[in-house]
Amino acid sequence: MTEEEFRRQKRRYQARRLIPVFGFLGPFFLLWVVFLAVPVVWSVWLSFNNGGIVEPARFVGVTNWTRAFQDDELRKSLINTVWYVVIAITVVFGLAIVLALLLQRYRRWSNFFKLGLYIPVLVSPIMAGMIFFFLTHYDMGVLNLLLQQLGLERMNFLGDNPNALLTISALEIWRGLGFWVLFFLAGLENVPQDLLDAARVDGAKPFRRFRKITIPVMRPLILFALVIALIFNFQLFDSVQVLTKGGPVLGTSTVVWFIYRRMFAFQDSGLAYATSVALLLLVLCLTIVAYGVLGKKVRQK
Amino acid sequence: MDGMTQPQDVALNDREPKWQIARRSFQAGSAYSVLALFVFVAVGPIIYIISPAFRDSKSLFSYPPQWIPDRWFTGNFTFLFSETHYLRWAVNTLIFATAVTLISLVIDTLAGYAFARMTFPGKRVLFSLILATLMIPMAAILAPTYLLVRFLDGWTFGLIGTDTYGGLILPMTVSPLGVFMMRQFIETIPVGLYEAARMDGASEWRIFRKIVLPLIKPALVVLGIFVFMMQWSNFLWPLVVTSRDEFRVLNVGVSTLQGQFVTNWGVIAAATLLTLIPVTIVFLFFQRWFVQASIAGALKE
Amino acid sequence: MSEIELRQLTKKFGNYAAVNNVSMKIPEGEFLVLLGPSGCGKSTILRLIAGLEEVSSGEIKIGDRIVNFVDPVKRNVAMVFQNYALYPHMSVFKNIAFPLETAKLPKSEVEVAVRDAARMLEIESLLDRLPAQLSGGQRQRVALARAIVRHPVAFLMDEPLSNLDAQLRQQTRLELMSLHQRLGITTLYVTHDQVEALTMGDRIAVMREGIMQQLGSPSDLYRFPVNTFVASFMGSPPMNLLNGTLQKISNDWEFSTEQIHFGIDRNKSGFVSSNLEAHASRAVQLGVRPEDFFFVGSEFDNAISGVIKFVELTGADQFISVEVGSQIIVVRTTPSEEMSVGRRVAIGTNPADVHLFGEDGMNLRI
Repeated sequence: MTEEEFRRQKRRYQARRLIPVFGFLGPFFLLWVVFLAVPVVWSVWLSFNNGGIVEPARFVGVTNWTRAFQDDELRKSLINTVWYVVIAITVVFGLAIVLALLLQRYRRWSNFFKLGLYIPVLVSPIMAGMIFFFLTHYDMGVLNLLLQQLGLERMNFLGDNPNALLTISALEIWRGLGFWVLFFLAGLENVPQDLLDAARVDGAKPFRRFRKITIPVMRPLILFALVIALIFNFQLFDSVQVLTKGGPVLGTSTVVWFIYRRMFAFQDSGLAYATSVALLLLVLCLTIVAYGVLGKKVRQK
Repeated sequence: MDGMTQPQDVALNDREPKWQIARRSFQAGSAYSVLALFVFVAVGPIIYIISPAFRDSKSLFSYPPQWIPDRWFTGNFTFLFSETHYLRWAVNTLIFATAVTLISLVIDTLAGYAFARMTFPGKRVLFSLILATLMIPMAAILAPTYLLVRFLDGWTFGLIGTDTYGGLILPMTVSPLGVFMMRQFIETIPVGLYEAARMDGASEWRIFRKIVLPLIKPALVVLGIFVFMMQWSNFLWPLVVTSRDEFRVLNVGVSTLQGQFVTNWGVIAAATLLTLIPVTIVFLFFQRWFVQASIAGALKE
Repeated sequence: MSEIELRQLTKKFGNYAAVNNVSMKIPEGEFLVLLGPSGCGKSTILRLIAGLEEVSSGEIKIGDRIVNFVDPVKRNVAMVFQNYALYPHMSVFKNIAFPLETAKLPKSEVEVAVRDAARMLEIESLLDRLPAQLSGGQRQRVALARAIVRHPVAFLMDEPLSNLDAQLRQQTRLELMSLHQRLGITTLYVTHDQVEALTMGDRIAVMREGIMQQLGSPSDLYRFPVNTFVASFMGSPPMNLLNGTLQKISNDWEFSTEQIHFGIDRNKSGFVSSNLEAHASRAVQLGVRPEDFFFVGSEFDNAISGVIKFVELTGADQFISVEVGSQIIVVRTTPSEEMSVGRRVAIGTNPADVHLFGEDGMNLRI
């Protein structure tokens, strides 16, 4: 066989082997391009435009971005979101780790506990919002009735700041706790038992063992969880829409709420576009961090 | 508090001093109480709305409150079914979640197989690209996706557009996480099996159908449940893409009950309760898979 | 007819040639063993012939067809993998039937063929079981049955015995050989175990780092190794290789070290004189197998003397390690000889069993 013939046959062979690839990758790739890649690129383009939804789009250069830095509503939304994220993650992680430790050590009825804790995770934010509406209702909510019984003043959970944001935080904490308990429980169980045994033999007390062994081993996992939780919680929207619609007085407006409101607003959707892209960039950065932490975890192994 | 050691495993000596036994029982008791408390807090609110669902508006605001209604009022439910499109919303949600799940599973598994076992130029780059889009928030591409769907309305004879099933379902089927999961799982199948099948003359498609699919059934269930759960609680996209009542999903529909029937809390409670029941039942049925699915979503990297 | 030929076959991974310019002809029905240490390329050759790897350059011919870019199944060769590669979710029957069903054979034919193959390998009773329920030996039979059922023109076996324990290995070896005798199908057999190679192969190809060292019958390789690698790879314990220099003294040749002055009889040993000339006064290695050495008395003419360092008794044999200067010679003898550590002895050998290897490792007989 000549060199040329060799190359020809090789090309045909490789082409033949490539055909099924299209069949397998094609469907996903097609949908991915159309509904993910294209929107991402379009989003960036839109951030330099205004309008487009209720009226035709106009190119406006960087004015969206400059306006974004000055807009009070956006700033407030951002601050609210950051407050919420910090509160929610701190509380949820703290509680989840404690509960996970308890579950790990005290095993009786653990299935019952795990299931019970997990049920709120299944409740969609909307439904949870409705439930919390009832709970916190000024007149008929059980919380206020309880306060009355105890002789205290009733609280306006949703109509006052900062109560509103705290109430929403409470809702999300309530919803998310079960998941994180199971998550950290799985992480704890992955801490090699021999390390802990060795420490015990060396005379280390439980809390010290926790601090010096469990935490360092779990550190990549916790960091990773942190990034995931950040990304996820930054997108708070559903509860806001249901419970407070951003109020009172923008007290619970979040970044995504801002985007949603402005998207359909006449002559002002440009801000929403810019915010969308900003959110995109933020998440991309966090994603890179997450993958970096993952890489460390793999290397740690 | 380190893990793995049960209180009763720690045998100090044959005769434990009484106060030690007492202390340990107390510790265990407190631990279980704490866990039980959290379970109460978790499940309580859900039980809490059973009552309002069966009471009429007047009795809701009566004081002192009746926790257990002496008359189980079913008017809320009849109202729900006759005066609102609740049933329609439920059907929509079912169609929506199921369709997204099925389509996702199909395209994700096919793509996962391609990335796991097939060779083609640019495989690494393509995969990294898809991974990069893994955590892109819906909010960041909300506007362009909406515009895209609206645009496609003209081009697909109304199959894909706002207020259509196509427009509702398709954008949600793109799941880089699903592809990643499937690839991971398919990679655990030993290469030898794949090579033996090739020697036996099987085409890629036959290998996929006869060898890979049967062996990844657990992963399919896990991914399926995960996707279904996610879409069941999806709110933002259905909210944006549907404006006509007949196309709304449960989340969106129930949230509209608020605006329309401001005073009719009973109906809202009924709607919420009704929406929670099927998910809870399915959950209790498939507990094992649910928990795995959740952790898989975040931990399985 | 269905002879397999490799012509200058090369496979490169990046810049590394896992298979480097290998050529050989394998006549129909031959049992050819590809032998060598791990990483030598023997498995790669097998996979190239199978079609699981792509050829970098060169040709593979099966019959008179060049099959470089033909799909594995169309080459009509069957492979038996080291780990058997049985489909875990299918019964034994379905495993064996898989290639036939893929070829869309009618169900009745499939049934007959599977049962035939199962009968030949004595696994008929296992047809309904799953691979997980079988022992290693049973799984291997299923793998063989799956290969047989296609009536291929060649079997490609990749270290099929290495996952079995020693006793089972020997038994299966014999069964494989009898199977080969019965079916007469060309077999390419990869292994790193030279005992397997010597007992099973019609011919052996020794590989090292992608390059074929020698191709020949077991006795050829054993008695006339072409270089030190082949010489020390075959045989257990390996051939003794002593370092020294080749001296020409008048018309006679001598292998000498500080302690040894060993005469080389050119004619009786079969050395090519030009080779000897070329290596005069140069470093060479003297090669004699342990079983070719024997103990001699003081009257023996060309003897090497040394001191016994170790005595190893292996039941049927005794291996005596004799220290000569700074080198050790291993001598095989019967257990009846009284040997004790520290005793001074003299050993001799037949000129016909003497090998000399140059600095490049090549045998001076060639």
